[in-house]
Amino acid sequence: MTAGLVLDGLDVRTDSSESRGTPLLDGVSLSVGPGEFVALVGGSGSGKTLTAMSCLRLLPPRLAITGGSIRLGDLDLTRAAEQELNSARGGRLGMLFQQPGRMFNPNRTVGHHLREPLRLHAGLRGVGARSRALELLAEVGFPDPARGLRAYPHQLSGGMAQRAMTAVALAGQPEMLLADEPTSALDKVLERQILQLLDRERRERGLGILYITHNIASVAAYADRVLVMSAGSIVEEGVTSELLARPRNPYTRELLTAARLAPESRRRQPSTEREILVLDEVGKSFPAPRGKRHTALEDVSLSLRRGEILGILGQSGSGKSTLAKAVVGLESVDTGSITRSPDGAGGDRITAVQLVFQEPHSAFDPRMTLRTSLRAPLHARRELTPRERDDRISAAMEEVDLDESLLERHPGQCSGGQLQRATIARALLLEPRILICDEATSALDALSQRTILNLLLRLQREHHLSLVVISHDMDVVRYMCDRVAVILQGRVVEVAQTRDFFATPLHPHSRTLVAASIPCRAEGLWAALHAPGLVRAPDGKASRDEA
Amino acid sequence: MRSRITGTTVAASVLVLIVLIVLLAPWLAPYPPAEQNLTERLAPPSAGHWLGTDNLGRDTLSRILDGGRFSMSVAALATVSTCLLGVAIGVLSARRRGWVDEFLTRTNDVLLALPEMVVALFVVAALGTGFGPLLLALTVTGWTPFARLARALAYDVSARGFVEAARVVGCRSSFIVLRHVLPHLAAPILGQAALRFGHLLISVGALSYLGLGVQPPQADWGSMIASAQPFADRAPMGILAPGLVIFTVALCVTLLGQRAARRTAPPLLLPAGTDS
Repeated sequence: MTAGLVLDGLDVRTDSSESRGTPLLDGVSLSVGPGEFVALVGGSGSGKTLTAMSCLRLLPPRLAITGGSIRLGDLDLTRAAEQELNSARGGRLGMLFQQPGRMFNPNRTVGHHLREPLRLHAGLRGVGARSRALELLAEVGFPDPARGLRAYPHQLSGGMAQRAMTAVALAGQPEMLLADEPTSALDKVLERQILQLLDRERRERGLGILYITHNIASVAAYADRVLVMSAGSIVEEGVTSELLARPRNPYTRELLTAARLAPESRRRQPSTEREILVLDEVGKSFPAPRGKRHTALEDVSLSLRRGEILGILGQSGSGKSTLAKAVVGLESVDTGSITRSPDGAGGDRITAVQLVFQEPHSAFDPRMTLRTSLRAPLHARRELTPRERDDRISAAMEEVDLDESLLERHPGQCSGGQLQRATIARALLLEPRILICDEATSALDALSQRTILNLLLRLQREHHLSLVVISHDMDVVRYMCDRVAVILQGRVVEVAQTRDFFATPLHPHSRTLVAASIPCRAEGLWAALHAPGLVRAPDGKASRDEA
Repeated sequence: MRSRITGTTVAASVLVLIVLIVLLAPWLAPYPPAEQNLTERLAPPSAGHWLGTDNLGRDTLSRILDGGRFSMSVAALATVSTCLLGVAIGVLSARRRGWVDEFLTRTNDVLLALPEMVVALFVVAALGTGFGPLLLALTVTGWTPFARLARALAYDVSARGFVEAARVVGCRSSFIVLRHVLPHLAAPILGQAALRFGHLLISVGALSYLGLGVQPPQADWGSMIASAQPFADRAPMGILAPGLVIFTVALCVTLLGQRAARRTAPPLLLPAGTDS
């Protein structure tokens, strides 16, 4: 009997009446042996998550496994009874989800979440369970495990929550772990910590890991083998170094190109144009428990020039989003001032600053068609006839390369990339002078991410916009920005030209950030992948170099 | 085409039938509703009196038909008014926040703490009896659940990304409330309204029983049950018949309300963040 997880020709189809039998997974075969770190990569909607959910037999309603088999060691997961499955789920077969915060019951402490798998799968109760729980939390890097046990999910930061989730997944002593984008909601520093933790479990306990991701850099650093998935099938498979260096399938090549946000692609002289946005010692705090106040921003002074792209780097919870909200007027500030176009030219109408959101799916009302949503910005423009409004909407859609037919769809029927472009179209309708992109691409896969970034660069050039790119992704900032500001616990600790910043980060925190953006295990390989000429740059990028 | 008889169709037909009969009561009723016949008191169902008579010898069927107009119109109007008032207050709380929210929510708490009947008694005592004061009393006591529900939902919707997006593109608060908040409230509020209708139908009766709603000889379903209660052992039909009608109407409205709530749910939704 082969050990590990083996999928053989797995088919998953819908059984809804309107699209009877559309295959969503088509003959997926893969295997993950004990102690093996296998990465499954692919764009959004390629079926990665569905593959993982099939292994747990937790498919959404109306989807069914119609062929093939899934075996975990000697257990046939496709045929196992519900009871057998339950003892495997969370036990032999662990699962780590994308959004750690959502997977906890907000009413229960971390300790409670840990007790359950310990009792069900490790047979531990009482004092034994408690000491094992403390051990697990210490292992995943909780500085104070005893306090961690008592913590409620909302008291944990994103990184801590994912560590706690990892502890819960490990508590059942799994032999196989399905990790579905466990780090895509986290910044680079935390990502590295979680992946190192998983890798250690792999080495020490022989844990098999199926790592689902769209982050090629982490694949290069940790995975033994890579499987590339597209439209429900595995299109290429190979040893990591081989596959990344010599991709054969065109889709793989496209993915790798997209992942390679070539650094040093745009170098410009420091801008000398007039300042269009000035933040002067801006402070903002929120009420915290026991009458304290949580300081989100403190003495933030920044300026943005016309046509400039400013990057704002910081870890989760550093105050980046509060800053974005303050600039667009969604949040008032306690101290200091925010001045839009200080020289008075162009007026300081609030709509001159527009925001591109992190979560494209929540940025649209699920009840409205995109056309209705896009009409909202023009609502106040009474001088426009309905005809003119629709013309403007069509023009904006064309500008972001979206087909007009999409306007009649509801947000639930569009992909994340399409919606993010629609968000940009909505912002463009107001003819903004400044566009704030708050983690605008971190919810997207590498391909859509690249498309959106290039779109933003094109629009910036054509409309002479100023961009503020808020991100925790060093590659994005390096690719896009003229200048970088680093924010740490609500304070700006460093502002520098992009090139200088990445060459010689001054502040200790900046150094940590820059260091974390380089993968550890395969630095040489990653450098090779980034070497010019290995993969052809798409046209969007080439034109940037000229600019 | 396959035709199916669903719970919804049945509920709708029954309700329409009852409403029609009640509206046509003056022409359909076998006797005038207030006509007394003391020789035939507390008669069991018979060919002459299908549902028997009450303690004053009045025909129960005729009184149900006549009383329905009063009971149902008060309950329906009270549902609409409590719903409108409650949603307005709830949305105002959620949108304005600060002291407005604090004041309205505390008022709500106080009203919830007081027994509904006491407040209603107070209103009716102050304004007198009759259709208008009764409606007012029910509205004053009945808006609280709607306000709570509307406030919670409006808070939730206001924190969603698309409301922030609407604010960023310069939409006014009134536009956001009309286009984003209220449509999202519609389904749960409709469900709540359907549930409250049955409750109000009984409240009308309870107030009448206390002598504060309907004044005799005007009939209504609740007060019929109340006045038949002492004779339950001799003429059970006096309680059963109006009780059954209240039950049927309340059930039909609840079923239809749930159905309507489902129909107004947003179209095909893939939960965000489940791609890849």
